[in-house]
Amino acid sequence: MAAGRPPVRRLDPDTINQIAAGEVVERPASVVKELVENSLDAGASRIHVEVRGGGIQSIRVVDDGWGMGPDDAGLALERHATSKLRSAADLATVATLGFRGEALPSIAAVARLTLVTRPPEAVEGTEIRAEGGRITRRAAPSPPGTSVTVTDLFYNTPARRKHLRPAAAEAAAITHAVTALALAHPRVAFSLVHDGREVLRTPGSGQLAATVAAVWDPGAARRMVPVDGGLGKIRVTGLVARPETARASRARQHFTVNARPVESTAVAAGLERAYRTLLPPGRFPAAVLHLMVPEGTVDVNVHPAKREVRFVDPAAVSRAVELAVTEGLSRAGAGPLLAPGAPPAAGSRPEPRTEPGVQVADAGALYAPWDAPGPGRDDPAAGAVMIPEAQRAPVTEGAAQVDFERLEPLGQVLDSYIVARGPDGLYLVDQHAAAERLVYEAALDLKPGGPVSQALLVPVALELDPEAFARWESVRGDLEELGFAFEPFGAGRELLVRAVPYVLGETADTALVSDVLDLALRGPAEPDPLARREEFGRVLASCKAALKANQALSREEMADLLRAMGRARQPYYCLHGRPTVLRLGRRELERRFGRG
Amino acid sequence: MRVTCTQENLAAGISVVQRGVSARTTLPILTGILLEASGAGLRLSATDHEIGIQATVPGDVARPGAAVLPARTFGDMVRKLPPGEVELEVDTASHAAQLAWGRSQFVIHGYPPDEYPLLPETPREGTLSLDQGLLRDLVRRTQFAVSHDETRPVLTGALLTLEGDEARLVATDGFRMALARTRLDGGAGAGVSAIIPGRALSELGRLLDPGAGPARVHVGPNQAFFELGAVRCLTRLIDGAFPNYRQVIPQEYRTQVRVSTGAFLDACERAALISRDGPPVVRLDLAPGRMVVTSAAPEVGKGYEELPAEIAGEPLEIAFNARFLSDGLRALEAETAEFACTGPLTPARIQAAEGDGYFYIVLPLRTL
Repeated sequence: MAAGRPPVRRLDPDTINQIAAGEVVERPASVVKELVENSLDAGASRIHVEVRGGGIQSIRVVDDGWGMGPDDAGLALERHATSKLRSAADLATVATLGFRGEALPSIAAVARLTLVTRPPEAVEGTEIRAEGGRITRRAAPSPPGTSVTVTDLFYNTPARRKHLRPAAAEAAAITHAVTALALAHPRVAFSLVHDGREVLRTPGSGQLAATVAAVWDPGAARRMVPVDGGLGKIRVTGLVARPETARASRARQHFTVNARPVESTAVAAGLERAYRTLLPPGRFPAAVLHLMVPEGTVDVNVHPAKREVRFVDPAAVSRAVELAVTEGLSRAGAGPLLAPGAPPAAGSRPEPRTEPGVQVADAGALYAPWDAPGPGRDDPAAGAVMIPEAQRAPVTEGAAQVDFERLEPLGQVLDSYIVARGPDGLYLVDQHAAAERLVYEAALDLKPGGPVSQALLVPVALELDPEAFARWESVRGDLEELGFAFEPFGAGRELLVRAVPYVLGETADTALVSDVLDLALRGPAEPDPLARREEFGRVLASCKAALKANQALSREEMADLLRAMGRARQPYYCLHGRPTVLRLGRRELERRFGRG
Repeated sequence: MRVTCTQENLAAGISVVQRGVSARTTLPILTGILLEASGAGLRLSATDHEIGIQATVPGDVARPGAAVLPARTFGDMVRKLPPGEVELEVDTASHAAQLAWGRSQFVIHGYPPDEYPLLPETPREGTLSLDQGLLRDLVRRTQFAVSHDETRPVLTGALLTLEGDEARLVATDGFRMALARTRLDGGAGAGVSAIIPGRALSELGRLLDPGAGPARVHVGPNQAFFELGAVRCLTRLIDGAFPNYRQVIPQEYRTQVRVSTGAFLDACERAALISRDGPPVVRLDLAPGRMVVTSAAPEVGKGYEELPAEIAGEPLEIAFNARFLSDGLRALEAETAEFACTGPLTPARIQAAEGDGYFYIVLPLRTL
């Protein structure tokens, strides 16, 4: 070996900074995030972000915050210099977004950085320039607040520069980061300009719905329902999407913990559980959830980029989210209605119910503070588009409960939909979707003294394959609780089904029973018994409800179905998050007949 | 075609066959009634390809011929005519029917009769005769147990067997089963066995007239024919194997009850009332000298009844679908019912205390 072993050398500060920068500054979006968080920590009420070339060319963040005096400004570029933390003990209670004192020096290590700042009370501003480890400082004119300009990102670390994705991808990442921060801080007016084009602007009014409308689209806020609940000292607020507007990805899920945008599997799990019976696999609700948890119950110092947080009790956090979201969804009531009806007359409002989880609140009062700007109660354009009605149902009126007891079936169309007259308009009910929901609830909400299981005159003989047979043995107890009764038959993998769940009702037949068991025994093995039971209930419901699809119903059967919906806990959505009922109210009818 | 008959006879005939007219069809001609005038009078026919109903109306046929007239318009019109003689004349070329009475007339447009499906004649061979009243009883006491679940077609009909000197009708929906039998006079076709659709049974139940003469029954390979005097009903048969019901009926029961049929039935109907919006569960607590019938619906209320009954065997608590029990008890024709059961997974049996060959099997419920 000609070269021999290289000697150990102490790294020079520039190299140390470049390495450290790698953790904080991965890509332009992380620069934007660090700078915006500094602005937020500086008490800014307006933050303007301007980027060029996906942020690789330049990033500029301007705020109207406290600014810094000349000495602080000089110090700000030194590693681990921060105004936000004095000792390690403070880490446990850190409330500001940045605290490591890493951001500015790290950025300065891999880009050309100019910082111009002035506290409102100072006469003169300060300009700091950092380039290649050289820092210069001079007095300069500046509006109150701070402006940081970063150019030529990674100019001195070609390897990293090479790994950047195309400008458009980096720009998208920046938009995502700013969106997350804007949703976390509805009181702050954000604007984002990319290559001279305004991408995003939030009003900073303090209303989350307005922020949602601004960052996504004006309809987005109306497709969401407010959440305000929690468990113990964990408070959960925000907005979650009505189930029928679920999307194929989690891209529109934003969580904050103590005002910090985070990624958290605990929060995501709680959210998912709240939608478990409302959404099919692979569909995700949009959600903006703000969690306030007591200091000391969350560890934010997990990763330099500070995205992932660690909770002391993640199960409690999940549960708090689940409870709050579930309550929000059931309070929102009559999900997707065809069009806003006239508000029910004073005397016709359904009596408040006492069952847990179902509350009828005054819809107007409940939603007033969440009203998004744009089409609202008095705007005739609201509900102008029939399909997809859900997106059009204004939160203010669509939220009225449907009084199923008072719906009178008029007939059936296409052997699939029940047409009914209600006190406030015409109703359409998807009989298959409704039946599925009802069977599901009946399968799981067993009442003391209520029927569980109906014995069969002729037992159904089933031969299971080895895999299903193995699974059957492990879930037999769950299936029997649901109402099946089995008897091993012969020496092999044969079963006699002696009884079926009562909810399969008076239509149980061999094919149905074997369908249910086949599906139930083939799904993924769910370790949690409760979740497993729910899964079986879901299978049962979809098999049973399939019988109601494309089936002519008698007037009496229709009335029964409507009455049963009135007793259901969640009558408004099928298990796949699709609406079960649509309403065509007076206003919509008048509008369509040109009387509006 | 030209025929004269009375409004009363014509209206009665239309009412009989109109139930065979297809309610929902894509074939317009099936919304019509076929009229055929011949030496025997005026024959009216209707079919929906599943069942067919024919009625012959006495009339004076001046010119034989055939026509198909829309059932609703024709039927409603005839019912609105004044009593008395009506003359019906159909123009063969235009298929327009002229309905004339007194100095009035209406013209109703019809369909070409040769496009109407042909209803096969009843074969002369292998027919047996059965009292209409007895046949109606068989139908009435079993028809309610027919399944309405289209996914299992064999159960949507009842199994008719004609064997030796016995006619038997069995229906089941998988949870209960009704079996009625009656003696056949004269030799039956040996080993006839066919599944009659539930819909045909309910039409038969309406058409059978205990006061009229015997019914002539013929069961063919694909169709069954019932000749009831001037009325004829035919139906296609349901293909497939009817479940072997004999092997699921227990021979022995742990608990036997003798109770007034009416009292038991009333108790079951009251139990169903209280649970109108929920599952109609009735609970029986059977102990020596005591029969307690209870029901409860959390939102509505609850009931407790003690019925005088003779109870033999072991004490037993058991639950049933109240509607299923009521159906079986209603079909009994005896003052005292014998009710026998064993446990929550085993069939229970209802029959007359003094057996008349009828019995009803019902499966219990397991409750929480």
